[in-house]
Amino acid sequence: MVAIMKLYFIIMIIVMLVYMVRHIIFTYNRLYSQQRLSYRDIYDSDLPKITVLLPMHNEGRVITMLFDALLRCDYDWDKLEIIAIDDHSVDATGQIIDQYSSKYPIIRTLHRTDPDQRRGKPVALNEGMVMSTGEIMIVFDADYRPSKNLLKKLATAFNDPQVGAVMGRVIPLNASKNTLTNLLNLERTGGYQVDQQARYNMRLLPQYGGTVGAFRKSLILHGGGFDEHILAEDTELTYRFALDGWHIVYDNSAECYEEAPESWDARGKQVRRWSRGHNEVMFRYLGKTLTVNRLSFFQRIDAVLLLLVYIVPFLLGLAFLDCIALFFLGEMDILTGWWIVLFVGAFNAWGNFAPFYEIAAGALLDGMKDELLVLPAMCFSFYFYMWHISLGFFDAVVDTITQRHVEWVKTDRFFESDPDETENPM
Amino acid sequence: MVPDNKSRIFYPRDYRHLNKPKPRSLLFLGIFVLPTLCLFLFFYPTITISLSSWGAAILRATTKTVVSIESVRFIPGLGEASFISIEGTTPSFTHSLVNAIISVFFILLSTQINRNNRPLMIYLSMGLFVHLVSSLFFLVIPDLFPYTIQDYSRLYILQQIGTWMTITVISGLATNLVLPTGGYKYAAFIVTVLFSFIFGCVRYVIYLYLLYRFTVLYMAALYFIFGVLYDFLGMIAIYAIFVRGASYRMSSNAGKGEWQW
Repeated sequence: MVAIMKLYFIIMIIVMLVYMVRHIIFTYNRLYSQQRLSYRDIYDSDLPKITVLLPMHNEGRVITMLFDALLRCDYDWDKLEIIAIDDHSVDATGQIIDQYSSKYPIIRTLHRTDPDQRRGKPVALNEGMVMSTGEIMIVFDADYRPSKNLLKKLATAFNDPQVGAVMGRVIPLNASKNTLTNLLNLERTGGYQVDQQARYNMRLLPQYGGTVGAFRKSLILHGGGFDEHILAEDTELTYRFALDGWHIVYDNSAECYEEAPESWDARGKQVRRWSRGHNEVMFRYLGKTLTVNRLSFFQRIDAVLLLLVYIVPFLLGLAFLDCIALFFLGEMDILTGWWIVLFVGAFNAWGNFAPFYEIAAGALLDGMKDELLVLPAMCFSFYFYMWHISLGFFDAVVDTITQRHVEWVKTDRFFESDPDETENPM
Repeated sequence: MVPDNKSRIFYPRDYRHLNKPKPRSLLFLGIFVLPTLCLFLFFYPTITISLSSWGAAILRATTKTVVSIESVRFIPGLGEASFISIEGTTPSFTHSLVNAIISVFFILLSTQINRNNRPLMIYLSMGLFVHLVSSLFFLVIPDLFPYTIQDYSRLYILQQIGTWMTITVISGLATNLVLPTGGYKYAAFIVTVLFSFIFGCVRYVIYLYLLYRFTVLYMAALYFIFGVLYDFLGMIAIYAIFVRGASYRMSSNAGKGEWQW
């Protein structure tokens, strides 16, 4: 038994070192290599007809800001359709989208009010796609604010017939609100500015993130729509497309601004839900990813490491318990006290979705300065993530074993629409 | 009127990157990082004997007890690592029971108090959990506790040598990777290694004193919760300060030549 515990400990050190090397490569690539450009920066051709899907559940507090931002976008309205999906809201969401729809003909509404209907983002997206007229779908959560040229940037990539999905960059609007939002801003910087862009540069597997992203409707409908039993329809789309040979593009210049969670409770629930959904996808796609022929060797390695990213904190938690058990068994002489390497790996390779040097690289590229001073707080949020992601992993295990019905729970909102700030773009 | 030329051109941040590192940047690894690593690797016998002598003198003065220096084989062929040996005590049943009850109380309390500090609460809960396990161990099977203060001291020294070497490598790689300008890179590396070295030495003596004074019951918590985490906390804090400085510089005229588009 002790031998197994020691072996597990050593395996975890190796896993951590693998992730560490991966992120060092990403950081080097992003900092020192020529960057792959947005399709929009390369050519400017006819744009396709697009449909913007806005799935919403009780979003009355924030939805007007999203509508106003979308209406300010510079996309030709003849080729733009916005479908606002009210998914069983009990607040003013339904009335607000009706008001906007009556004022702006490009906004169509879909009210999902039948109590017998299944609720959740994948179901709402499936129904929205069926009533849409565009071939390219672009999805936003209600607390996002697209930049003026975002729709053009995302849509242009689909002139390449090999592109199946495009992901834009997410930037928190409320970064200065508190320590948590500042940390999330840093995480996003490491995750998008460095990690996603490096994976795109290296022709690996950028991840479609479920919001601020676009995809070909026909590909999803051909596969029977989004799986309504899964929480991470975005990760599922990423792997479904990649394994079928479609390219996923990351556009670092397609900026969209989000409301980051302002309380640790909200963040904990959000991360737990992500972990649950991501791990469900991991159970389904790990075998296929390892065996599929369409991916190159390095693409496959990266796809597997990306797929495992939400199980690693749970495995680290087990390694921590393993260490404690070995300590009380008098076996801490393993590697003569070098168990520290485990935590070196943890902080360097996994950290909080991005290791500290990757975040620092992103901050440097983004011109951040004083924001960096909260970077050491990552050491404590690391334990917070380990706990909540492990809970999400257990949820996914139970979901998979029992095939239980998964309910979609959205993240709490903190912003309040300011009526004075809404503008009439007409 | 002649139109004013645009005095500031805002380049997008989306695709900017730095010049490829020149071969001389590898000198940093060769001149600073590798020698520092060699210093810890080849001179750990000297470093640990000095640290142990210095620490033993302090502990003799503060505890008025017998403090000696022992040594242990570490890396074959490179010599023995020295560590402080001091007599310790095991906790009484009552002492362990009180600690177990206090740990349970604070674990329960930590789930209820201010939710704005959740990460800190989870971290402290983990520490309390380790301490609870330790207290229960001494309550149930105190004779089977596998360590004395000498064992802790030996493990600490071996782990600290590993920590110094690891911090040297990680800090060297991270600074060389992200900080493109010489001054910041060298300063960040030197300050980090100095911090780790001094902090590791001071903490060694303080922890031995605490274990001597308050029994080996606290050994697990000191080892797991208040151990290497703080070396990394310090490293990342120092790193953040220097990257911030570099970012200020690269936003100014002095640093604008660094960027490529």
